Amino acid sequence: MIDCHYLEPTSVSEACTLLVEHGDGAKVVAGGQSMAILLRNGLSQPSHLISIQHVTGLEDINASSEGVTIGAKVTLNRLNGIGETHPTLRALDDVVRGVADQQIRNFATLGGAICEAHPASDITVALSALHATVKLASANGERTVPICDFVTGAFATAAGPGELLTEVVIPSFDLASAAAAHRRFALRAGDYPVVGVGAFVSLDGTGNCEDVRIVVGNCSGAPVHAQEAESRLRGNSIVGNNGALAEAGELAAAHVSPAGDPMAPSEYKIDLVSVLTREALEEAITRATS
Amino acid sequence: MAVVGTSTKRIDGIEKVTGTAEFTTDIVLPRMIHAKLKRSPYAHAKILGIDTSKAEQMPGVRAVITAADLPDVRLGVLTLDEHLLAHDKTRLVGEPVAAVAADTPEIARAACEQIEVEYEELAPLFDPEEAIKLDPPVVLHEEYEEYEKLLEIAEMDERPPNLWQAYRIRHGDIDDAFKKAEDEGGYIIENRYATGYVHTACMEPHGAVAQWSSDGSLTLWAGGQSPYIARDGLAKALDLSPSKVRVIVPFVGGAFGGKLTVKEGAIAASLAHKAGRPVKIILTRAEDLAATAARTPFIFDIKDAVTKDGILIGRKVTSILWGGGYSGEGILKPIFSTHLYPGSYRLAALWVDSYGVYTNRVSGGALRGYGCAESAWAVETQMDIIARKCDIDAVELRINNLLTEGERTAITMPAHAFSAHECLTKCADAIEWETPSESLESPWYRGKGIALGNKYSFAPTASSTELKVHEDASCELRTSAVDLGQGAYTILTQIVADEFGIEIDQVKLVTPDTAITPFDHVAGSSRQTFHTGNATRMACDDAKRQIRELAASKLEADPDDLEVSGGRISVKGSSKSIEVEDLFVVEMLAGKRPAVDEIIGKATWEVTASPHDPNTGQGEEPMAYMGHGAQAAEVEVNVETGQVRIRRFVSAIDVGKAMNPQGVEMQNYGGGCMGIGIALHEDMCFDANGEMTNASLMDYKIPSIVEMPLNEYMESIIVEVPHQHGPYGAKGAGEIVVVPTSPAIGNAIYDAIGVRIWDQPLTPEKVVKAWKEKQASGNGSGS
Repeated sequence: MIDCHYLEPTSVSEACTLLVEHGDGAKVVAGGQSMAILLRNGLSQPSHLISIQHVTGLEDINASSEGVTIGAKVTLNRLNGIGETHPTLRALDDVVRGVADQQIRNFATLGGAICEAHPASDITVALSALHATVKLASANGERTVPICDFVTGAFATAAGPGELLTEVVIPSFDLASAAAAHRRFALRAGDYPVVGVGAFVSLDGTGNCEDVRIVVGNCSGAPVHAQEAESRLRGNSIVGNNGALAEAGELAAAHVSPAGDPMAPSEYKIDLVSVLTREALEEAITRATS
Repeated sequence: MAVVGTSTKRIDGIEKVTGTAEFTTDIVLPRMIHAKLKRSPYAHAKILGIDTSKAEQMPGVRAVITAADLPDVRLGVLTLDEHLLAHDKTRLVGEPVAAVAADTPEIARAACEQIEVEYEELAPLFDPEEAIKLDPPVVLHEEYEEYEKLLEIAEMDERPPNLWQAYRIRHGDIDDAFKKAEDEGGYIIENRYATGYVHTACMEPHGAVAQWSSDGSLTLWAGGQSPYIARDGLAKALDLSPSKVRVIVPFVGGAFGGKLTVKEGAIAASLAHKAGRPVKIILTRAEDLAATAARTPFIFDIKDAVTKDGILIGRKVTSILWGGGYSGEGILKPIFSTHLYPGSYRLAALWVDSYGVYTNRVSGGALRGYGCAESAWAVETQMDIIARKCDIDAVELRINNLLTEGERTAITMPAHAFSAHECLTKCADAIEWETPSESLESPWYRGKGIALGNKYSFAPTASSTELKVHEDASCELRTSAVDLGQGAYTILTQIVADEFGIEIDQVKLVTPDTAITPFDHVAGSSRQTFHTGNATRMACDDAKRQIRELAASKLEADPDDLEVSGGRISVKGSSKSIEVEDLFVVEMLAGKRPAVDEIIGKATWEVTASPHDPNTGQGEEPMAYMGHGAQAAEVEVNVETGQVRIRRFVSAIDVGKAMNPQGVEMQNYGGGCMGIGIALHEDMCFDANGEMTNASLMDYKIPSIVEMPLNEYMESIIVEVPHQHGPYGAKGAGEIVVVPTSPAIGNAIYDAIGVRIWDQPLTPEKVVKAWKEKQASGNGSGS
């Protein structure tokens, strides 16, 4: 039995007021797919659960020249196939279809998945590779934070007191020369991955790597940015250069020192980082050049 | 029309699908309260004191018990080594040390936290090879010699102090076999294998509801595999006469060997006695996974002598069952696992030393296949290795070594209804054994593997049933056989319908309740169709005999000239007949009553056997029957991630007679899924303190449907070679379906990438490691 107050604000400002009012004991719940597990296992013991189920205006997906904005309450299931309507989001699409199962995706929200800050969350990894930012609302107004700064560790975020994540913005990029992809490996369909890797590449006029971003999930509390691997590629020829991609994979693997999971010891996770980094880069390059 | 042999609908299907079927957790009694257990956080510790005073004072707490509240008796299956609540020592993490009953489960849980237990931590012992030493670092049971034991173990010069089982097979001249292999250009093939920690992880966790009557008798509702084993266990634990205990088995949400005893039920009963109220206990998923008996690992050292032509002439095995804190339901596994060492093969010499040891981990229990699914892993991988060594096709090599009908195995089991050859060849044909797997693009590789298996059904054993005939000619079967999901109720119903020539819906089942239904040994060892099926047929015969005798005078015929079918009794070869209803008379105000006596047929089917000499493994026919099966898999292996996909899976099993073909198919599919899980995915993991680290269904990886082959690639083949003693020729199907699975998959992985992984499960991590080792050494790590 969970002994706490359950509040149902109907607007962002009301939700933010309640968050301030109830302080540290207040937790936001949207689809409940992460929160229910935290509550059941006693990992979260809020005095007040603030359900944003009836808060309106957080369920839109809008595209502009700046990018795509996704409301915090958009369910993962609505994001399944999003890469077809918004091609810059194909890396997010790679992830969503592998998260849990249909029933969970019907309820789980994008904002909830980010705010849970699960170390193995593929969503945060893919969004980090896509340079996404999150918008946080509070009584003092709004602020925008890059997602890689928002998730600060295992189950920890930079959300301040009274702040509510309202939307995620994925900046646009030139589809003719840039793309992102995500690759994951899980021990069983629908599980959190053993390792997940998101990669973004953009190519210059000569086909060399102009920019690259490699983000590794479940190897630390928060997604890890594999800088040495990026440096190996930036400015160099990468299209069809399997050697360079394999090296980048090895550099990314050398960059992480993950704790082992029960059925996936650290060395195995490191092996996977190498393989999945290479595969994510290959796929991103294929997308950028097709 | 014959009903046996047709795929009639499951008689429990509608109830289960609509959610009206009643399971233990659904039972609610007036004034019922809820129990929770206080468990040991230590793998090995002395209990210096338990202070329950704070818990007792909490509002809503109705009873708190410790070992001091219970009769000082040790319990167990055959070696009585375990108290219901830890007495002076705990021997595994999660062992119950106290229990609370309270108005709600939450209060009971909170009260458990308020119980203060003072422990003195002792060094734990986890390594079975340390445990089996004559001078081990730790002894778990200092008083072992004083324990009551119901089974003799093999003689030893000196018993290693942590050993609870020793069994030997001495058949033929083993030294001569190895010498012959050496001298005549044959092979000696020696390898070490291990199985993993697997849990039954049933959909329904363990639980019970206990209620006492004013006359001092106890009623317990618990979803278990045997109401009579439960009844006697409760009586022993609570120091009651068995006649004072009534066990009712509601629907069971899976058991697979994990629900043989009712430890939690006995604790609930003790709490209910103290509180004076009915008590329900339902374990959480974490408790169920971490603290109820598991299929604990075996280590097998196996050495085979083979002629250059691939004929097995000698086998030497040393095995250790990695037991836990108590011998539990694993007690017979070191014996029964030896059944597969000869398996279905001719073996002139067999020499086995099989042991079971205590360690401070979870106790060993039964899980579908009871030892055979484990030893098959070693034996059937060996057969693949031998085939490759001798350069003989793996199917052909097996066939060359098979017994023939009428022969006896090296452990004196007769090969009767011997269908190994048929199962093997049908399975091979279905997977297109002759055609090698296609090559795939790197890093994927494809390969095929096959394995044979058999599964004994133990003896001595017995099943009794009663069959009452009603005035409307409907039949009521009273049985203590339990439907665990395997379909026993449907099959027994089919038998009654068939024997009486009536419709399925004219048969009513009275399900297990020791106050009403007669003895049945257990829903285990694939025995329900075979044994209870026979008893049911015999009870039908007995009831029909009574009907014929009652009808004889009315029909003015000899009872032997009458036949009973479809609610009528007719004189053979004549048109004279009466209805069953005519055997009843009208009683004023009371409807109809039997004209003479109630028509109740009763029967007991018994199979006798005497235990084998534990020093030689020899004796008379040791088992009731053996069932055969072969399975084949085609796998796809990714050498970079280690992922193994089952592309194709074939399961061909011999059931003697498919009583309900769809039911057999479900066993093939369900068993295949479970076997795939055991082979590739499922592994209970432990930390350095002996605590399970993946005690949730999120972390304990039961495979999902996505891990299974697509529908058309999962094939069920039913083989029917009738057994002389089986009802309609039938044999059981419940366990054989997981026996060959692991070696079939392991052999397919070898075929694909040329590496052997010796210890289950064959996880991606191990695949990658083995592949890397192979690359580094420039050849395979196998053979």
